[in-house]
Amino acid sequence: MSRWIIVGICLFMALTMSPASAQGGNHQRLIVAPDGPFVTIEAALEAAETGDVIEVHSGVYAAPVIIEKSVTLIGVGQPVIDGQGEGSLVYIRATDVTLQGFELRNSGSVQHHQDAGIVVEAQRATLLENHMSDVLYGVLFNNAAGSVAQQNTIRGKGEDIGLRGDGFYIWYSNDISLVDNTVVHSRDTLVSYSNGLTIRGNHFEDNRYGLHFMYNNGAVVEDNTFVNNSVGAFLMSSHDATLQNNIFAYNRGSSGYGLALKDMDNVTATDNFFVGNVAGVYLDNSPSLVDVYNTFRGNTFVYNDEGVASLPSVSRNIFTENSFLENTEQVSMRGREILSRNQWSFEGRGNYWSDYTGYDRNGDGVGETTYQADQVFENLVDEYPVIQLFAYGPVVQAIEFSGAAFPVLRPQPRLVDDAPLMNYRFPPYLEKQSSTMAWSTLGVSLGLLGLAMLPLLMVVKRPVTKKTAQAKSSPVATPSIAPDQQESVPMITAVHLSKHYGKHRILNDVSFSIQPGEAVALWGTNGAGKTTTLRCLLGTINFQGRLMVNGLDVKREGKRVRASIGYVPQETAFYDMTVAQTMQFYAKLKKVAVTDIAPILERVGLAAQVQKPVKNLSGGMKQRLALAVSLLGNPPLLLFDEPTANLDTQSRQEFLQLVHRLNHDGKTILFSTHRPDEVLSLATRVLGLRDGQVILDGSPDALLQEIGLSQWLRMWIPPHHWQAAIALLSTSGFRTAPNGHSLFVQVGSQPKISALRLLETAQIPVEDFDVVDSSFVPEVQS
Amino acid sequence: MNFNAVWLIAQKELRDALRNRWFLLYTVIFGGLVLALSMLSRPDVEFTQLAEYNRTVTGLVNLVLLFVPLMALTFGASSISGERETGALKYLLAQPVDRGEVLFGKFLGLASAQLSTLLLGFGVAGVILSTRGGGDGLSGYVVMTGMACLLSLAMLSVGFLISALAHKTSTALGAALFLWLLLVFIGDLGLIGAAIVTQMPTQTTLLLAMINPLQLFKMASIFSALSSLEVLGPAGLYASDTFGGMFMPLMLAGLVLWILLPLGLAQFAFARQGDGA
Repeated sequence: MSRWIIVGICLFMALTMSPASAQGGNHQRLIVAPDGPFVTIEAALEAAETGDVIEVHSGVYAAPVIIEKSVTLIGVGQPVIDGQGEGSLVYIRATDVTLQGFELRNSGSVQHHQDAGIVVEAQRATLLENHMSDVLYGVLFNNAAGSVAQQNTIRGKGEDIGLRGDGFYIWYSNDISLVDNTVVHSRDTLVSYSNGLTIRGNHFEDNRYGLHFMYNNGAVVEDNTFVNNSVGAFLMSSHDATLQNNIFAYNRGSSGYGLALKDMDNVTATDNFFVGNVAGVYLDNSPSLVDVYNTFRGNTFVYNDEGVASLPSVSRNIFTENSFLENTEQVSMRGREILSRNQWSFEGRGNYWSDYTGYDRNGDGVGETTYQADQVFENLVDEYPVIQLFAYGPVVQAIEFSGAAFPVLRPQPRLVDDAPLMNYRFPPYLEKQSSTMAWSTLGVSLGLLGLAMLPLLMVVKRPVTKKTAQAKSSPVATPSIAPDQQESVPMITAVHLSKHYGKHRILNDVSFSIQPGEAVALWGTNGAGKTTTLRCLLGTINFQGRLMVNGLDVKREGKRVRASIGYVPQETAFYDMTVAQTMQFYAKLKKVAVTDIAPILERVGLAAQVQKPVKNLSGGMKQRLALAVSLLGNPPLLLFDEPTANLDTQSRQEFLQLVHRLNHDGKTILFSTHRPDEVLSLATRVLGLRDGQVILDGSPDALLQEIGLSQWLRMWIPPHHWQAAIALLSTSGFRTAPNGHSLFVQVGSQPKISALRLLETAQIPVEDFDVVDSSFVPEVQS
Repeated sequence: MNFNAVWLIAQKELRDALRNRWFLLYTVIFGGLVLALSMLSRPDVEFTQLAEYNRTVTGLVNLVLLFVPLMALTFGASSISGERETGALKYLLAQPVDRGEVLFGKFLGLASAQLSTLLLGFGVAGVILSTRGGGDGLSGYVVMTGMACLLSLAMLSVGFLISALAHKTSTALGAALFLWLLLVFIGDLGLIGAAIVTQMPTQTTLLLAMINPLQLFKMASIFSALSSLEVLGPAGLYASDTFGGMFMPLMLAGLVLWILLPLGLAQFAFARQGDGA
């Protein structure tokens, strides 16, 4: 036994006499390093006396470190205390301990053990410049009054927010100071039953509650930054708190308050900055005591969803010289109530409201009219939160507009500020941010602009080279008929063709056949079915029966059929283009080489009009253009729908001559008309239609004979011979019609000379005559 | 289908649109408002950039909701009916093309013109935002641009359906304007009224609102730009909680359906109108 005592004394002597320990005043300085003299912190603590300084040099040391003497531990070169996932890392159980410059990492994760970086269980501890990472709790102050934590960093385990521990956890510890610390990825900084708190210059980011406290009176919270937490600071059940120069930014959790006050009395909030929170400030029963006021002065609320949100019962808050800028809802009420029991101005100074529309006549910076928060939609949302779904849409403006137009719809104002300020103010401590160019956004935006220009490439003309012109030199879709088949295959075959609109039958079981090279007139009055027949042939309307064009079934191969047809409508309707552009458009549509355009324009007499806008062409010119378009692709069949109906006499003659030449060149022509002169001058055959049925299929003369239409002779006969002439002609079977100046005689299919010879034989003089059609005849007399 | 003809008609439509004074007016007004919106900002101090960016984005959403449907519906509505009235359509259909080619060519041409306007607006806004350091929200911005393009196509498609059904331009334009009012104002107003009067459950309100393609665009844009639907209140939170990861695909599918269905119906109606054109 005595041997062991001697060994112990020797060891003690060796340690205290070691050259590694240095005297500092009355206190020693003990050195801990991986290569000694102390290789563990525990050994140094064992050897230390009250007031000693233990220098811990860089290296990794085992946890837990339990400090039960009033010593100072200073890390040199950021020594690491690693808990390897078990328990807490440092326990301070003696008063006046200082812990400085350590890296503490990898605590345990057991919630009910409150595994932490540092557990302070004694008064007046000082924690300086320690960096904690991967710790469940950061620092626990438990009955640790007068302690200070300064410039420490706490980085939580970053697990699901509910599984994290608190950054600082302060329990029954008065006069605690948290200064310039950083707390990230933790649950809360939770403070309870601790008066005289000072929280200054800290940065709380990505926590659940940046600061959460209750039953702490006389707290000072200043110069802190609360950013991207679920809630910035939630203060409860305390009084005499001062909050100033804090920044509450983007706290947007499910509650998303920048600063929330519940049962808080006599709070002074000054020059704080609230930006981008769901609600900048949330008020619930604060102040809770009668005759106690909370004051909000000089704070700035900008771009929050709600600047200030309040529960209905809240009263006795004074808002003065605050700036409310562009909050979606400047002040909101969670329920049916108004905020009139709060003061929105104090001693003639209200607040700045970015949606205030009043004016300042005397230039004192205070508006002359009151600011009233009486937006209809906001009021509805306060009462029925579900309709917030419709926010950010034009319907909100519509509702507000209706409120402005019909004041009866406006709700009672939630607040009235009778001295609104004209100028807003940003807190002076905010740093100017020079805009940095976001190159990625710029690149993408330029890309969007490039895409916007892309359609212009669609309309840029591509030059037509000789090669491409040759490649497209034949109309691909135009089926042609071998010459030896031309006689045997009809150009058009209609079998039992019928068409009706509802009960109204336009074509009724029409059958006919047209051979290649024929020029056939579809004759009939308006509504006889001429145009419908042509549209059936084009396949642009549905029909019953069978219709073959150029050997192709119209129903099945409408597009190929149309490639075989050149079509000229009664009224041309071209796009807003020049003649050349029009020709090019339809040439491309028909897959015809653009080099084919010039000869066709030459042929129809439009070569000189190439650059003219179509809208500037005369009716006759337009009809020629339609003819030119119809000739693109050299189709074997031409369909004309009363092509000269809107033309003057000369244009009509010219057009008919062109068509005549085309027929002469071998084109099959089917045209609708009700003009006998066109029938006679152009047609080799007539299909007469009446009420949707073919009533005639024969020569033009047969038409005239069959339906009683013919040409008329207009004769100038001396008036005293009229009676004799009319009697003679009528007896001989001629129809007559006098008009006062001359006598009209229908000649029908008879030779015109027969009427003249009849009168000559009777010695009735004919002074002059002319051949006219029935349109000139005033009234037909038998 | 002959894509040569489709392309040719699309080119013609695009050229017509670029010469159309109304179209140019729409473009200038939209571009001007986008420019003004993106240039509005408070002094650049720390912490405000993101909020300003978000405010610009939500402003753009509002602007798109107002302008894009008006532009797309009216141009779509007059696309077929206008040419039907002048007779140009009848003449075009007498050429070797089929109705599908005409319809899709017109749609392609007008869609190109519309998207060009939109991309121009969003491109200009993006350039201005980039000078203010809006790099963080880039992906959201791109998604929002895409969604605006889809909304434009959906409204154009509805406009085409109107145009295919109406025989007169005036009728078509009247119907388009009524539909615009319905989608932008009356529908939402009606739903707000019904939600208040009947104490409609959140999910019912949300589902009824989602019938409206404008709401699909709005929710998708806000979600992509702000990464949350919190700003749309309980219904917004209900949507993101209920649909989770399927939310954006669902919005996308909804808008695509709003493009394909009316366009398909327009083609069906147009093809059956052998008698109308």
